[in-house]
Amino acid sequence: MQGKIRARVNAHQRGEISRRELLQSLVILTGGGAAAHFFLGSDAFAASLIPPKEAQTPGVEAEVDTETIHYSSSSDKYQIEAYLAQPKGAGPHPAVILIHESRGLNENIRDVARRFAAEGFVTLAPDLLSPAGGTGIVKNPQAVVIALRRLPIYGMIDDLKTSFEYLGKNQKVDAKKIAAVGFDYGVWRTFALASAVPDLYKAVIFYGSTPDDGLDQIKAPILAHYAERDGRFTGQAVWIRKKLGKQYQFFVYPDTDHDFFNAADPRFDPAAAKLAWVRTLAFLRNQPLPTSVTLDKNDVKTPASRVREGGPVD
Amino acid sequence: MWKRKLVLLLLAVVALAAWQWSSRAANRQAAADASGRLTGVVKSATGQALDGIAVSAQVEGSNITTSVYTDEEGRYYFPPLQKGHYHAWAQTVGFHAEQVQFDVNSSQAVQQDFTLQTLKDFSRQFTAPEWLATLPDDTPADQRMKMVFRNTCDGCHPASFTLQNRFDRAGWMAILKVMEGIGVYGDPPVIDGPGNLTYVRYFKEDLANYLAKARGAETKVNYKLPPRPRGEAAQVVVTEYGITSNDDPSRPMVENGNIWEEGVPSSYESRGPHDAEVDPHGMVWIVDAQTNPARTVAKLNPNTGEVTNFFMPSERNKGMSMGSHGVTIDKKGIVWFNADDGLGRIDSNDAHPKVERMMPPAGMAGVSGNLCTDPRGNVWATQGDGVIRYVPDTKTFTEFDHPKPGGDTYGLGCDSDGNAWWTQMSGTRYDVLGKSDIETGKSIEVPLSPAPYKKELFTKDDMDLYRLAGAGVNTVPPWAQGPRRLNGDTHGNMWVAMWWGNSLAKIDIRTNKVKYYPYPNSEHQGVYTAIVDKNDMVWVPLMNAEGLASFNPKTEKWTEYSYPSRGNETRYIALDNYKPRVEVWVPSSRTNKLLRLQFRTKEDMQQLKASFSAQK
Repeated sequence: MQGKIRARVNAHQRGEISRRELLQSLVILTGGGAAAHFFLGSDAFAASLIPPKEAQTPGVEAEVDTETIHYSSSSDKYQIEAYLAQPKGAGPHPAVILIHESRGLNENIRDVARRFAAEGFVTLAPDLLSPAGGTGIVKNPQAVVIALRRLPIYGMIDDLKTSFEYLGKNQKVDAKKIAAVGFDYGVWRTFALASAVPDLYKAVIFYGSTPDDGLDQIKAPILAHYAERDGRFTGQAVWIRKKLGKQYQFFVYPDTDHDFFNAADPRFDPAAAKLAWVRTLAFLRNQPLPTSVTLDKNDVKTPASRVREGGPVD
Repeated sequence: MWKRKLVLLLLAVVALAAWQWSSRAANRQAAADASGRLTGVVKSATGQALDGIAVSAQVEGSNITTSVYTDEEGRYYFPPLQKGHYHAWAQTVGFHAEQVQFDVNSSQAVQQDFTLQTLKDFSRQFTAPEWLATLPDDTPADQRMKMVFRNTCDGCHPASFTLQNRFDRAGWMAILKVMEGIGVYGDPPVIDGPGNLTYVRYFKEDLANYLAKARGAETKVNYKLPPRPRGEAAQVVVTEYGITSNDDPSRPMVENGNIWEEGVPSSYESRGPHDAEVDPHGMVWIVDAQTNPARTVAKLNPNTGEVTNFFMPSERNKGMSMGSHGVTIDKKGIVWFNADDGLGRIDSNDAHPKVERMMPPAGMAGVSGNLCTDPRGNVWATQGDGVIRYVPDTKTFTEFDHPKPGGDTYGLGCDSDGNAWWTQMSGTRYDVLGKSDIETGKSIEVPLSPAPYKKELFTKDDMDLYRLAGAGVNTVPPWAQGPRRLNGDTHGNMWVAMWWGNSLAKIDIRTNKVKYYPYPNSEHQGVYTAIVDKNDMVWVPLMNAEGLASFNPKTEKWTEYSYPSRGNETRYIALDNYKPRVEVWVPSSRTNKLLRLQFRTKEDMQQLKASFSAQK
C-alpha cells in the first residue's frame, strides 16, 4: 500500500494532482475517510511525505503563521495541545475556536484552521484528547474514538473554556469576537461551550448532536449546516429552532450526506461544502448569507459536481 | 471454603444435568407415547359456558406446552397427549387464569373442567392493539398524540409493555428522557450521542402530558373487552416449544408469558429465536439475531423438543458465536444463514452435518441478515445497500446495489422469475422497494404510496421535523408505510408486509403495480412479514397482537389466530409445506419459544367430538 501512496504523493508533488485529489486517493488506499485522516494527521510516514506546507489548501500557506502550542488545563494536571493558525497582520482579528470531530486533531482540522486564518481569523484548534496524551500518540482512528469516549465529557468543556480564555489573551485577537466552529462530535461540545460562555461571539456547527439541556443559556447566534441524508442530526434542527427561535439559523444541503464538508471523506460534496464555507464566513462577518455559489477552477473536482440552493427550510 | 464452593458447584451441575435429563426424558416419552386424551368445559362463575377460552397443558418435566380453545359450547378437545402429570390452565381477558394439576394415565379421556372467576383489573392481559384502543382520541390534539405515541414508542416496545404500568407526568418524563438517548437495541443512553430517537426528544413534553392523562395514577382507562377466537381460529392447536437461552443453554426460561394477568415479560432474558425455517425432514432451524456464546444456528426436533446448537466461533467477537439473523432452506434441504459477514451452510440431510461458511470476495459487501432462495437454487441475502446473490453451482457472489442513496436495506424476498426484492423502511429514502434485474446486473426502485393519515392534526414544525428526520426503523412520520419483510408467490407477485401502514401490498413483478390490502383492525397490529404457502395463502405474523393472520387472495378474507401466551414478539413465520396440511411455525424472541400452529377443520372437530362421546 505504501508504494501506491508514495506514487500518489509524488504525483501531487509534481503538480499532477491537487491535494484534495491526493486525499481522495488516500481514502481509497487506506480503506476509508477516517483512516486517511488519521494517516495524514498522525502517521510519521505521512508527515515525512507531506510536509505541513504542502498539506495546505492551495494559496493558503503564504498567508498564515502556524504553530503547535501548549497551555495549562484549568486543573493544571495536563497541558492542552492546540494548533494555532494566525493571519499575518497585527490585528486585532476576530477569532475561531475550532472543535474537531471524533477523529481528533488531525490534518483535516489543521487545514480548516489554516483556511480560517487565511480569511483573517486567528484560529485555535485544541486537541480534546490532550488529557490522554493527544491524538498524535494514538495508534489508529478507531482508538481515537475509544480514547475520546473514555474522557470525562465536561472536562472537555472546561478545556474549551480554557481555550476561549487563552485566545482572549492573544494580542492579535479581538476578544469580543471569539466564535466557535464545531464539526460532528464537536457540535455537542460547541453547544455546551456556548451555554457555558455567555461572551461567545457566535457559533457555527456542521452536522452533529445537540445537548438536551442548557440551550436556554446560550446568548450567541448560531448557524447550522446539515446534510439531507443525515436525519438523526438534521431532524434535531426543528427541535433546536423551537428552543432558540431566530437566534438559530439552519440550512439543509440537498442530496448530501454526513461529512459533506470533509474533503478527505468519500461523502465530500464540493458544492455544498463551498456554500457552507462562504455562509460561515459571511455569518462570522455579519454579512448577508449567500444563497448560492459557483465552483471555479481552483475548487476540487468533484465526485458529483452539484451546486444547489440551500435556503432555510422555512 | 474452596471445598464448600466445589461441593456447591458439583451439586449445581448434578441438579442441572438432572433437570436436562428429566426434560429430555419427558420429551422423548412424549414422542413415544401420545395416547392420552383430555377434554372439558370452561364456564364462568355464574355457570355460563365460555367460548374462545385458551386452555393450555404442559406435562411435568417437559418444555412443550399444548393449547386449544373452547368451542361455542365452552368445550375443548386436546389432540392426543403423552401420559404423565399435567399442569394446565385456562384463561381469557376479563377472568383470572384457573390453574390445575392432574394425571393423564390411560387412554381413558380425562375430563377437566374449569370455572373462571372474573378479574376486576384485566388490563395486564391486553395485547398491544388492545392497549392502543384504550388511548384517548376524542379531540384532534389527542388524535395527534395517539399517532405520535404509536409511531414513536410502539416500534421498540409493544404498547402492552409500555402501558402496563402507571406513572405521573414526572415519571413518564423520566422514562422519556432515557428513551431520548437510548440505542435502538436498548444500548445505554449516551449524553452526547446522536439523539437516536429524535422524535422522542421533540415530542417528549407533549408525550409526557398525554401519557400522564392516558395512563396516570388516577386515570380511568377505557377498557374494552376484545373479541375471543371463534370458528377456525378456535379450532387451532398451538404447541409452544421452550427454547433454551442463548446466553446459557442450560438455563430454562422463566418469563414465558404463560399467565396473561402477570403482564408482558418485563425483560429480555435473552433475545431468543428471531427467524426459523422447516427442513424437508420436519426439523426446525433457528437463528437468534443476537451474538451469543452458544449458537449461530440451532435445530429443534419437534418430536422431542430437543435443541441442538451449532456454535461457529466468531473472529471479531472472541468467545462468542458468529452472529446470525436470517435463515433460508433450499429445495435440496441445504440450510443457508448469515454468519458474521459470511454465508453459512449446513446440509440438513446429513446425520452429523458440518458447518461451512463462504465469504464474499474482498471489496464486496458482507452478507447481512435476511435471506431467500430463488427458483434456480441461488441464495440471496441483504447487504448494506441492496442485496447480494450467491450461486452455489459456481460458488460466486454478485452484488446488486440500490439505485438511489439514502435508505437502509431491510427485508428481502425472492420472486418467481429469479429476482430478489428488498425493502427500505428507514433513512431519508424510505417506503421504497429495490428490485434486482438479473439480466442486466442492475437494480431498479419501486416506490410505494404514503400511508393514509390526517395531515391536519400536525403542526408546521411537526411536518418539518418529519420531513428532515426521515424514518428510523422504529420511529417514523405518520405517513410511513414501513415495508418490512416480503416474499413471492408462484404467480408473479411479491407480497410485502407494511408494518406502519398496517396492511399487505401485492406487487405484480412484471408491471410493478402495487395493490394494498389494509388489515381490518385499524389499531397497530405489527404486520411484519408476508409469506405465501403452497396453497397460495398469505401468512402474516402480527408482532404486537399476540397472534398471526392468514389472508386468502382469492376471497380477500383475513383470518386471525391468537397465541395462548403473552409477550411473544413474532417477526417471522416458517411454513411446513411438506406436511399434507400446512403447518405454521412462529419464533418468539421475547419469550424464547417456537410456536407451532396446526389447523383443525370443522370436520376434524366433529370427528374428535364424536370420538370423545363414544369413549364416554
